[in-house]
Amino acid sequence: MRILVVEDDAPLASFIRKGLEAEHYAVDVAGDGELARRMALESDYDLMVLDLNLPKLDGIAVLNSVRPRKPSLPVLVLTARSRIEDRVQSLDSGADDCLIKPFSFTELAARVRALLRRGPRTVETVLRVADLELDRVARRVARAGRPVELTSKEFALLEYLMRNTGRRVTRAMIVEHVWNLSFDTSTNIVDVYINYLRKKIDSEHTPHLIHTVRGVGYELSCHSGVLV
Amino acid sequence: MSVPPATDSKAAQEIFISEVFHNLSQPLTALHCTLDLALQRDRTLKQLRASVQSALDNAERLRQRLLLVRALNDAAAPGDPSETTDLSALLGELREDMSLLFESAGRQLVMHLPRVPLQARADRTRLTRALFVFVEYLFRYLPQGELLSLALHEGKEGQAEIQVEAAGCLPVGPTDGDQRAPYSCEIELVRRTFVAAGGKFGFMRCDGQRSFWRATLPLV
Repeated sequence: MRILVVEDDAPLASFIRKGLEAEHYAVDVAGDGELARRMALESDYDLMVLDLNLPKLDGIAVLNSVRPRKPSLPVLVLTARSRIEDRVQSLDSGADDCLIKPFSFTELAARVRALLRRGPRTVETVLRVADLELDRVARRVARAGRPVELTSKEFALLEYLMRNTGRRVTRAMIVEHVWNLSFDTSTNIVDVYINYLRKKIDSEHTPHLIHTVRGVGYELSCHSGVLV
Repeated sequence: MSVPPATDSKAAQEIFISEVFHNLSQPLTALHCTLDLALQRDRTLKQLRASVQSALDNAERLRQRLLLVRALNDAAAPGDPSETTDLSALLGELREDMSLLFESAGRQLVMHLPRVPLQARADRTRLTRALFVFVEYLFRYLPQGELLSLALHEGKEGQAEIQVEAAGCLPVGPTDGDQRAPYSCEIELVRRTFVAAGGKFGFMRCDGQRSFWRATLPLV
């Protein structure tokens, strides 16, 4: 997998490059918008990590230029801009995900994996993992054919985990996508909900599907045991 | 309604900066001390790993506090003036959303909602976020077995009013005399959200064991 990292802050670019290389990605770095546009258009990348504040050509202009010619290139935008409108604009311009600075490398890596594993966009009505089924339209969940009653928040949490089956999701990612908060909560609400979900989904069934990933968060998959 | 922590903008600004400084300096101090000690002393590999983990945890705390400060900025932005929100439904969903957290900790969240839905002129997403943050903040200081209650009703002059009563002693802001009131980045975020929607949000009083709050929003 080859990733283009577009970041003008040299120490940060170096940190991202080293981290991604340690995860066995091939990484190129562009330090300004013009160079990024040229590299993105001339080479085949599996993903672009794009800072918005760039010299010569800003990130939005890079996106506007690259997206029409590379419609399937996943783009993860990094931004330190404070306004919601800036983040909305980057997503509207074709970014697939947006990560706000400051970020942890664990979260950046998780989002990179999520984007790289995302196949063609699907509009599946029913999500299935092993014998667990979630019908998004009918708002029904069943395990081994037996209905499971969930609150709306539990449903949203399970849907998010199932959409990311096999991927590690951090608590911050869950809070952002399920609770719609851009910062982590001050309580253990995610862990509380995961515990309740486990009781309803996993306690009377095997294999257990919801796994704790130590120091990271959670993963829904058919693996067994605690993931590290 | 008293709008804490102070009436003039200079004092409010000083208190706000003091609160942000406090929020950011705590994890940064812990991070600094951890790294300082790790370098000064001879450590086993296991101890060094524990130090690095502690440093990482505090860096994450610092990051989350910075994101909260950014959210304060977003909360002050004016929303879409044409958007309306069913406050009764929103509070009902909030009760369902938070009930597991309260239940798991042996606490109670009670809501008194009017029979007739109240439609307010406010951005639903921002309001949901603000109320979630507020209830979660009060929850942190709620003693076990105690109650947090929210009551929604139609107030005066075309305003919807939410009255909140919570057990527990909240930390007060760095103010003097009569102006002492609970204050935090979370409370500031909630206040900014209500003000941006044309409403008000404020601390009313504390009787030593319970705090009382009041928020208003313009009805449609």
